[in-house]
Amino acid sequence: MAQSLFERIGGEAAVNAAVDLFYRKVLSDSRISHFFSTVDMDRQIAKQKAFLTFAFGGPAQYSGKDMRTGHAHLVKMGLNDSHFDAVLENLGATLKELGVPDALIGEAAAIAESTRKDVLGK
Amino acid sequence: MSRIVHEGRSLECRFDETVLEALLRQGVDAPYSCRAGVCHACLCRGEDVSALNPESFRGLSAEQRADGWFLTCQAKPVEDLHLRDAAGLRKCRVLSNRQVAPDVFILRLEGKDFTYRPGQFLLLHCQGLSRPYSIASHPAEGYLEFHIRKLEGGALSPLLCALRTGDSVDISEAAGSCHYGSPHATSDLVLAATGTGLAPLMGVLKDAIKKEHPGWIFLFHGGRVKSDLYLDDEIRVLMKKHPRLLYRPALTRDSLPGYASGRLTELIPPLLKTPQQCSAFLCGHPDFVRELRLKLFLAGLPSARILADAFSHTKGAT
Repeated sequence: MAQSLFERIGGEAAVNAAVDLFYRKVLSDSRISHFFSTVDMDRQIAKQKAFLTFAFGGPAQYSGKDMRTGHAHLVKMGLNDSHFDAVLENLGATLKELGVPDALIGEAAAIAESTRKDVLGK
Repeated sequence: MSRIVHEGRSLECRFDETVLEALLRQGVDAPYSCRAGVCHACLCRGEDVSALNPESFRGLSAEQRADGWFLTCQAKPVEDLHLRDAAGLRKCRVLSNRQVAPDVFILRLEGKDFTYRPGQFLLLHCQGLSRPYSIASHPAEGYLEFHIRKLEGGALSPLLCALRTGDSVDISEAAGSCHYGSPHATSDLVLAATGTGLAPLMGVLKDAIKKEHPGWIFLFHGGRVKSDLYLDDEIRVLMKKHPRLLYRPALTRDSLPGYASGRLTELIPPLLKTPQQCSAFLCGHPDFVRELRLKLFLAGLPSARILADAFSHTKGAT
């Protein structure tokens, strides 16, 4: 059987390598940082790890409903397509910086993209 | 319903009842304060806590959890739970209690044969009250040192500040993961504290020196006025003995030669030349810890190497 994206991208080690880089980029991006700054950095890091694991095709399980309820408060704050695009952009830049091949970045982006409607509550 | 075994007694814990509620209902004089999982006054140890609800471990590290620590005010057991005997408490004689600032006392207790890692905390019990306090001493010193901030109207801190040589207090076992370890050995250390947040960092500092830390050690202590820097002289003596220790005191209200003016959250990040190679220990006012942690992370410190004292918001608060 062909290896899963999660295995090809480097599994948990890849998530751990990417999480600081990704979260730092997101927090430094004035378009979206206000959605991510919170009192509890540990929890934010844990959430970003879960997101990256998911985008890498890993074992994290989300239902569309989880995505909707989990982001509903952000949608109220004005979360829209432009913000979602910015997050994808930061995800791509993170993986590029880590030397992940473009084809795998594309696969991860496609998985992340699949959540757009639920995240934005459409 | 499940059973709680406490000091040889088998108690009942009703459905949806917390361990604390069950203990109090059945006449156990269990310590507590906020009942919201924040203050950690009810911290307790069980034999096997793996089946407890996640809220039982709010603010605790994985290590503490593995050691069986949990919060009785949050835990709602679905299985039988054996509590470790409060025999974990031991009586300690007060060696000295010295006022070092208008609102800060340095309390030293007899501490021979007491096992802890510098930077950890324990619960100080006095007249039925208990709160977590960080240990500022190093095991090699033979005594236990605590920095007590006296809060007017506080419940426990005025009692602790009034202790005299020869009095005694009860202490719990030590816990906490804010200590110097192998991941930090190859980096430069940034120790940053406001107020009595300095206590655990003094433990970490003494340990790093003892273990001949090869990199630089930057110790930052921030206060409003000079008297807030209650260990100024002692740290300057240490600095003379250890050329790789750099002490940077900072004041927000006083302006004095030899002291930086301003807030540590502004002063520290630009000073770090190679932030990605640093390890940081932060302790003090929660806003300070939160802000500096974020700034250090954005400056490039790995998130896993920024240790913030999880109890800084409550420690010594009353």
